[in-house]
Amino acid sequence: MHAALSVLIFTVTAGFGLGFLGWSGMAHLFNDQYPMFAAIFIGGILTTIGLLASTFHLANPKNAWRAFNRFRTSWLSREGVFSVLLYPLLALGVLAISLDWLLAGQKVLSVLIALLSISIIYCTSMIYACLKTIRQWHNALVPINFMLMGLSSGALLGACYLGFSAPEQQSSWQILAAVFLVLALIGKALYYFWIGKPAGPTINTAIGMTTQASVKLLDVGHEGGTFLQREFGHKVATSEIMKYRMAVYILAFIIPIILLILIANPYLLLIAVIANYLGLLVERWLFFVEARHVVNLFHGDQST
Amino acid sequence: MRLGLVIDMDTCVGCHGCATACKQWNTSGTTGPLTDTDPYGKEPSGVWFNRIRSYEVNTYPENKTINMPMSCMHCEEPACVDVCPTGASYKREEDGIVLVDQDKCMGCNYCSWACPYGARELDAVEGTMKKCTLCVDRIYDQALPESQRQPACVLTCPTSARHFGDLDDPESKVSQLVKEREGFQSMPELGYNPTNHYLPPRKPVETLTKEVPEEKPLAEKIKGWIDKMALS
Repeated sequence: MHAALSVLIFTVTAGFGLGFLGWSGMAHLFNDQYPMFAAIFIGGILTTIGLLASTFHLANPKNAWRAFNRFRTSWLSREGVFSVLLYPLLALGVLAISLDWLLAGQKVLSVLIALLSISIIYCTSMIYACLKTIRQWHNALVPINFMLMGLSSGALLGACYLGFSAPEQQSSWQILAAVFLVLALIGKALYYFWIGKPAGPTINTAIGMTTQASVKLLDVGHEGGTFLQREFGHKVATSEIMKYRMAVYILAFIIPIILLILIANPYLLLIAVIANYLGLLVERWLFFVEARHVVNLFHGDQST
Repeated sequence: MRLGLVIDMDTCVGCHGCATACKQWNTSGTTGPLTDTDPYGKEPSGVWFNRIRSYEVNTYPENKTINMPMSCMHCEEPACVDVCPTGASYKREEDGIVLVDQDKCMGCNYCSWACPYGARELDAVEGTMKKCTLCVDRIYDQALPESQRQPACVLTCPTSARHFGDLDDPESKVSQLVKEREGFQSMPELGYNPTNHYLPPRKPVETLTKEVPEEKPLAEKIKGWIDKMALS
């Protein structure tokens, strides 16, 4: 699959923001002292950057407002609707805290923000996981991975944030972030193991007629490139893939975990956040280029 | 009603006539233009509703060349319609044709990801997704003589490998063809239940495949005869 940079930035950045909002909302429920006010802004800004980036991959963005129309069937539509619903909640949350409304009311808003944020991450993951045409995506590990990565990034950002704003609460968040980074690492390792075993449509079921005879592409029917090849043909050599996976493990998970265990200095934890962000960009890029759409079967790629 | 195509892979010669006729009709049709980029240059590319690929199936001496024209299958369970967030993609209740409303599409490519048959292609110039309309602007046109109310690809096919009709009606020509010739769907295991069917190549006539006893050369015959004599 072609990996559009805008989509990589969108899913990773919004994952950070939404994961952070998810944890912050829950933290505020149990801890009156949690600095929720600034957290709403940080989470909201990150999510907004992500959502704006996502519109750059549209070929016809003037119709983007119509994307809320098919809530009943489309995960992309659901993601859009929930994302837009998040803003009034964030605004109410800010208002409630700055006007010092009843604490119970503030907490209800925080919980709603948390639930909605996590729902959006789930919707994003289901955009990919619902596609039967892409074997590497059509699996329960995909939503699990997206949730774990969003929540671990959010917790890591939270540990860093608390180091600046409320150092006395920071240590429990460091443990939380480290635990979720380990879980996310395991989830990703399971995923990489699982996609190594192909099963699904073959060239034989694609062109029918035979069940096992060999099929060789003689002529693809065009000389120049086509949309189908540009969108679905992109892939990386198998020998290169291990290198990128190692980069994901080290940048996104191992460096942040080690830093979380060893230090509490928020400036140094920023390095962990940046490493995690860059690692997840590589992870998301791999998520696309390792995905093999079944239409490639017709173009002679039988490894799909 | 469930309108669709039945394509005979036995008679298709892979001439690309259907794709060319499709492009000619539809570029000025309801979802036109079918934009081309660099048409006379080194890297010509463009939107096509129909693409033909050629394969060699099996190995010598059982091998056979087949040509597989592919356009939208107008699936009964069109995942492309389900995933579309804007409602631009839709399936018509009355005849099952799957269409893209060009005024609503935002060009997110998501429907093309959901389609296993590569039937949808983004027109990067127009910014919208384009696909086979089953010549919806032709097949109902009362101004045309009845014999002409068929998709352009079907009308132009020089070997009559393409057939158009209602696959819901068991008595229709297309349903009968599917029944008689053991027509099949592409990738049925995905569960989209494509309306378009393909007819497999006919089995070779019996006499052609029958083993003919091999005629031995004269020298071998004499050798065998001498051996027989010597041993007896």
